[in-house]
Amino acid sequence: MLKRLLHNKMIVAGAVIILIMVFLAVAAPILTPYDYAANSLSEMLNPPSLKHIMGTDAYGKDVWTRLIYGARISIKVSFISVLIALLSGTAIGLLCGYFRGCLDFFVGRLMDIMMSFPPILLSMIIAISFGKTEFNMCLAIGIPVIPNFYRIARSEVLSIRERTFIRASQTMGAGNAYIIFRHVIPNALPQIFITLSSTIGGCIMAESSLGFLGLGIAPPTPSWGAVINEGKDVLFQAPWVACFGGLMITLTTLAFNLLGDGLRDVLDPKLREN
Amino acid sequence: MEHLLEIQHLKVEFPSKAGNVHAVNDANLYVDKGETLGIVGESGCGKSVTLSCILNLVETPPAIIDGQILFHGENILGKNEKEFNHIRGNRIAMIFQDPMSSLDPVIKVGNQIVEMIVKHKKLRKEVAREEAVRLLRLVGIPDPEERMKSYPHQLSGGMCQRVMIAMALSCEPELLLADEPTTALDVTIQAQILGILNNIREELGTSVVIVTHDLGVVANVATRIAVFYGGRVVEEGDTRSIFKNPLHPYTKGLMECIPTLQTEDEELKVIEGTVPDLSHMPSGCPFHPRCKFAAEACKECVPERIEAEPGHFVSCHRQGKGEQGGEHEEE
Repeated sequence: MLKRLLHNKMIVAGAVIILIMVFLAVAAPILTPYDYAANSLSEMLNPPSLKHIMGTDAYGKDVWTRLIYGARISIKVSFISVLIALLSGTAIGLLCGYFRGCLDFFVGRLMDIMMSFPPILLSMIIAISFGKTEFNMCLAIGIPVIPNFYRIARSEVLSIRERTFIRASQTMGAGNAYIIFRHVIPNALPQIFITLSSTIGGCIMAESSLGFLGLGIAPPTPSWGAVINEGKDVLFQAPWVACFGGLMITLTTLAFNLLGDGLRDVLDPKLREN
Repeated sequence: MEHLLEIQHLKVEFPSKAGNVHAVNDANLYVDKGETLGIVGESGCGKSVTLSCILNLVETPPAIIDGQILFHGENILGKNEKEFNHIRGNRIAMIFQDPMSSLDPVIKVGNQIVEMIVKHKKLRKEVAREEAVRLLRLVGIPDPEERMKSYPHQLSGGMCQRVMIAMALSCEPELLLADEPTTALDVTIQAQILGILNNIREELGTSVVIVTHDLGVVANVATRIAVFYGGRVVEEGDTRSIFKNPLHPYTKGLMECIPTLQTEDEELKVIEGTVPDLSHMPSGCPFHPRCKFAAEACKECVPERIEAEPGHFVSCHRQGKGEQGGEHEEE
C-alpha cells in the first residue's frame, strides 16, 4: 500500500509540501530568532534580506516569523474544521441516503437552506456571534461545508445501494450495519476523498479570508489571512508582505489538492494497475 | 410428503398511478429436496419477483404480497428482517444474473467469501480461509490461492459467477436460488456453470431453483419445470414429460420456437402477440389473447390447475373439458 502511495508523483509532491508546512509550524520557535508579536520601529518595511528573509511589515515585525507561526493556526483550524464537516456531513449523508424516508426530507431541506448562504457569510455570522476563540473558528469554517460532504455521501449511497452486490450481500444475510460499513463506505470513499481534498483547500482559504476580514483569531496571534490583511495597506511600498502570505496559502491549498487527487487514483481499484 | 419449499397462492402487486401492477397472480410451486426446479417464462412474467419474495427482497410497502411461502412447512412470508437474516445465506442462498456486478468491486474476492463464512459459521479467519480455497476449488477455479487475492474486475464473468456460487455454497444452504445465472455468459462458460450446478445438486444434495428464459438451460439441469405466464404457473411437471408432452398451448408454443439443426424454414417460429401488460391483465386465462385455441370459457374464468398426468399439472380449459373439446376447436 505504502509503495503504491509513494509511486504516485502527485501524492509525493502534495505530502512533501504539507509535511514542510507542518514542520515549519511545529518547529517555528527554532526556525526564527524573532518574536511574532514584537514591533521594531527601526526596521519598518524592510525588503527581504539575510537578516529578514521575507522582509518586515509596517510595524517592523518579521514576516517569515509571522508566517510560520501563522501556519500553526491556519493548518490546525482548517484541519479540525474539515474534520468536523467530514464526520458530521458524511454520517448524515450516509444515514439519509440509506434509510431515506421522512428524515431524509427534513435534513435535505435543512441542507438546502445552509447551501443557500454563501459559505463565507455563514462563517462570518458564526464567527461574530460565537467569539474569536480557536474552536469557534473551527465551527465557523466547518459548519458551512457540512453540506458538501452530506451531498456527496448521500448521492453515493443512493447509487451504491441499488447495485447488485448490495442485493447479493443481502441474500447472504448481511445486515444494514455490515452493508453500510463494509460495502457502502469503501465504495463511496474515492468520491469523499475528492471532496475532502477540495474542501480542505477551501477551508484554508476560508480561514485566511476570515483573518483577512479581521474576524479570525484575535491579534496579535498571527494567521496567514491576517498577514495579507496587514500587507494590503502597504502593497505598493512593500509587496513582499502580502505576496509571501499569499504564497503560503497557494502552496498549501495546491498541496492538498494534489494529495487528494493522488489518493483517489490509488484508492480506486479500477484505476489500479494489475 | 412435506416439500422443502412450497409457494401457495402467492400474489404480488406494485401500486402505480396507472393501476396496480400484478407481477405475480396466484402462483403455486414446490421444490423438493435434492431436485432442480427450472422456472421458465418470458420477460415480465413474474419469475424473478417470485424468487425475490422467497428471500423477502421485495420491499413492502410499496409492494403488496399475499399468500404463503412454506419453508420446511413453516410460513416464512411475514417474518421480520432479523429472522430473515438467519435464513438468507445460511439456509437459502441466491446467485444473480450479472456476476460481474454481484461482487463488491473494492473487496478482494477471497475476503468476500471469508467474511461470509466467518459471519455464518463463526469460524476463525484462518480456518475460513482454507474453507474458501476449498470452495473455489470445488467450483472449478484454477489456482484458488492466487485467485483469492484478486479483485472482481480482474476476473472474467464466468469466474465471477463461480465465485458467487462458491460464496452461496459457503454456508451449505439447503436451497440455492439462481436468477438467470447464465444469461450474461457465453455458451461454453454457460455449459460449465450449468455443470457446476448439476454437480452441487448431486454431490451436496442442495436443491436448486433456476430461473431462465432459455429452454436449453432447463433441459440441461432441471429435474422439474414450471412454466410461468402472466404471473401464474400455467404448467408444471418433470422435465421429461414437459418436453415430450407439453399440454398448455403456451408451452407448446415455446417448444416450437426452439430452432433445431433440422429446422429448414427461413423464419423462426414465434408466439404471436406480446406479453400482457401487468397492470391490465386480460380476464380469465392470461394467455387467451394469444392462444389459437381460445374459446369463450377462456375469456371468462381462470382455468383450474389439473393433474393431467401424475406430477404433471396444467392450467388450461382444454384439459379440464377433456380431450374431445380440444380436438374440436383445433379443426
